[in-house]
Amino acid sequence: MMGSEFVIWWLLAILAVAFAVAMVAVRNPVHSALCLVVNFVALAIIYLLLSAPLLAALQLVVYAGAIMVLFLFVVMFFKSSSDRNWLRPQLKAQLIIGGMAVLVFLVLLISIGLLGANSESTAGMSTVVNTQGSVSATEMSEANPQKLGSWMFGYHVLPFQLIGVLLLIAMIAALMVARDPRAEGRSRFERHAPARDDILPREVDL
Amino acid sequence: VSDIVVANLVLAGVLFTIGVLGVMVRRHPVVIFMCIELMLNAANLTLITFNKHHISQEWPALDGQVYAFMVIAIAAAEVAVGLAIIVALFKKRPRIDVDEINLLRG
Repeated sequence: MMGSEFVIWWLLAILAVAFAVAMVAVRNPVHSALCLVVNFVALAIIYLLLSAPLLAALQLVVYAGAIMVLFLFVVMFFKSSSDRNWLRPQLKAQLIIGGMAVLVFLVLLISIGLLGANSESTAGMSTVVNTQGSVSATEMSEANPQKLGSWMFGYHVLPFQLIGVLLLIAMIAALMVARDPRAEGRSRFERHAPARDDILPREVDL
Repeated sequence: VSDIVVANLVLAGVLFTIGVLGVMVRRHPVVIFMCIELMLNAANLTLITFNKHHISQEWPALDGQVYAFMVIAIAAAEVAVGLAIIVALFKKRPRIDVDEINLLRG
C-alpha cells in the first residue's frame, strides 16, 4: 500500500473510532444512529482500500441506507410518546452548518462530474484500472464485482439460497411479532362489523 | 504479514471492543442493537482484511468477501426481528429499560 493510501487509512480509522465512541457516549439515540452512519461510511471507504468495491457499495446501501433508516424509524417511534419536543433543532448554527455542508456536497458532485467528463476513468476506479485504461491481470484477480459474483455463484450457491429463505422467514417473523395483540382472533373483515350475537335473533332457542 | 493487515486487525479489535462496551453500558435497546451492528462490522473488516492478505495469483479466492456479504444479509434479518420485538415491547409499555425486561412473554 502506498504512502498516500496509508494517510487516508489513518484518517478513516480515526474517524471510525471517534464516531464509534461518540455513538456509545451520546445520550440521544437519534444522535448515536447518525454517528453510526458516519462510522459505516468510513468503514466502506476502508473496504475500498482493501479492494472490495462491491462490499463497500453494499455497506453504503444496506447498512448506511436501509438498516439505519429502520433504526431511526424505531427510535422516533420511541421518542414520540415520551417527550413531544425532541424534533426542535438542538444546535445553534444548524442552518448555517447544514447550508455549508450542502454547498460542499454540491461542489464535490460538480467536480466529480467535470473529472468524469475530462478523463476516461473516474478517480475511484484507479485501483482497478491502471493508467493505460486496460485492466491488469494481478488486479483483475482480486478486485471486481464480476469476479466476486462468479465466485459466489460458483462455490457458494447453497448458502446464498439459504440466506434468501432466512430473510423471508425473518420478514414473516417480524410481522408476527409486531402485530397488534388486541386484534387477535378477529379477521380483517370482522373487525368493524357488528358482533355476531347482535345479528342473530335473540328469540331463537334451539 | 504486512503492516496494513496488522493495522486493520487492530482497528477491527478496537471497534469490536467499543461495541461490547456499548452493550455493557447503554440501556436503551435500540442503542444496544446499534452496538451489535458495530461488532458485526468489525467482524466484516477482519474477514475482508484476511481475504486481501491470503489472495494470490495462483489461488484467487474470494471466500472472505462472500462471507462478509452473508454477514451483512444475516445482520439485516437480525435487525428486522429484533426491532419487531422492541416495537412489540413498546406497545406493552411506553418506557422501556432493558433492565426491566425479564420476560419474552409479557
